[in-house]
Amino acid sequence: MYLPKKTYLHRLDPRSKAFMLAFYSVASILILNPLLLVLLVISNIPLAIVAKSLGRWVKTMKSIVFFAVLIFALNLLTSVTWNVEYALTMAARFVALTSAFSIFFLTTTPEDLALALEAGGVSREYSLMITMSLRFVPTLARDLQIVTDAYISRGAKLDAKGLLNKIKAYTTLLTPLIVFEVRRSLMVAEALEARAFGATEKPTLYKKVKMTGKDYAFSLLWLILLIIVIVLKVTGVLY
Amino acid sequence: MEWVIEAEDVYYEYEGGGLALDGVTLRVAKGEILAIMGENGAGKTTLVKHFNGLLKPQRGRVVVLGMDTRHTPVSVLARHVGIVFQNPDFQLFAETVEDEIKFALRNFGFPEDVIEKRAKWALKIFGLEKYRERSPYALSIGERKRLSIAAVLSYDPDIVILDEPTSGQDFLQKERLAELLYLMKQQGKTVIIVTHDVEFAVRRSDRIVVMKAGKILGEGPPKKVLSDVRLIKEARLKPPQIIETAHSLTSKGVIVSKDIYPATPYELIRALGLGEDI
Repeated sequence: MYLPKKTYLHRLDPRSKAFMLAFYSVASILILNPLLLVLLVISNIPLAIVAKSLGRWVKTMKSIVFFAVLIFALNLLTSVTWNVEYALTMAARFVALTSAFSIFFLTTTPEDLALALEAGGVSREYSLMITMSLRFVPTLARDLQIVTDAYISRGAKLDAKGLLNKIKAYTTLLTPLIVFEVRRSLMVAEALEARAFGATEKPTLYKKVKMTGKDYAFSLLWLILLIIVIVLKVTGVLY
Repeated sequence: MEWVIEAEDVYYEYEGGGLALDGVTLRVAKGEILAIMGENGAGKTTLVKHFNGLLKPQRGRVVVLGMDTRHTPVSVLARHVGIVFQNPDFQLFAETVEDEIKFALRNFGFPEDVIEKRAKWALKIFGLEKYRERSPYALSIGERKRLSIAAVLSYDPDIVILDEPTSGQDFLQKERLAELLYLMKQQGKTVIIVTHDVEFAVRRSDRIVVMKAGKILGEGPPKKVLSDVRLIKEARLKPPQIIETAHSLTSKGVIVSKDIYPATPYELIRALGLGEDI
């Protein structure tokens, strides 16, 4: 999640950072070599350092280790030929994507993202939907903690034995969570309407996002890298 | 005095900063009704979460019924310590009101006939019989609150902790709850309530603990604590109206109370010298 800091990456227009995302997304899909994918992840480290967010980035990476292992295991188990490299690629691809997106979201406020989306022609309803879903991620995590506390306080066990029991336990947890989040979204909708959301078709903006020379340079860099990756793939150098 | 909970110098800091408990030492006696009060963010809920092991002290220790919470799993402690959380919506898991009450009973492995008996008792005592087959989410907020309390009391824990039990309840329900708490006390159970409801606390608890910024600011018999104007002000609490009245009457020289102000209408009338048979 976003941390307010004054760094080069933080100041950039979200649109130029979107070029960075485009490069990483396309590259992690085109590249099939797990080692190259790992290189892709490593290339995020200098970016994280520039953004003074290395600690946070490392934390995010640590938190996805479990899912990466899960993806590896599932791909390995479901592949007919016991294809270890394929499973490794899938896991590394996931890590590479998460890593790049983590850099993006660590340096971009949801508000800026919304403004950039609107500047790019997305309607306010949709940009708000995106920023709000980001905004509610930590809230949801907190709610889950409260529900879990209540659950184990009444003698239920989350570390039940057997996959089926585990799934059952977590489904039980989801019930209050979903009911509450639906209620919350209704409350949010009412609060929005009470504050006259949508009264003007195109509201004037207090803050505007603007592409500067630095933004164009940054965008160009990633665009060139993107083209290089595509060319390498098409010419068969990258396989 | 038999202590059921002994917290010694407990520190707890949430991840990402925020010292919630800053050296709390508190002992809770068997059979007492203890009210924990204090402004929002004082650390009340964090403290009670230590009593069934949901949170483990980062420094110091918490011993509940002779068990050190650091070395005892929540599932063992939960059988003896029941916590009813503030928001009922986060603790209703079953499809019907009746199943909701049976949820914990089943988790603790009670025999089926006992489960039936206990569920029936809990439904009756909380006036929820007519909703037996309904979904917990179809109930009103006050009813959901009662259901969350019923679901915990049904398995008869030795210590019951209620976080804001009176919020959203009308006078009659509050009185019923108070009676129930008293009944539990008579049975030797220990009751801890976390509350902002000073009127409820002054009349229905044996002892009040006042917290602020993760520390215990003061404690003692309800009337004594709530008569301590300086303490109350520091904790940002509002004293019960009768105590406030008695305080201003005292400062105007109408009545004289030194340490402890009258806390009920009758006591005030007596203090005013208007006799007792009113």
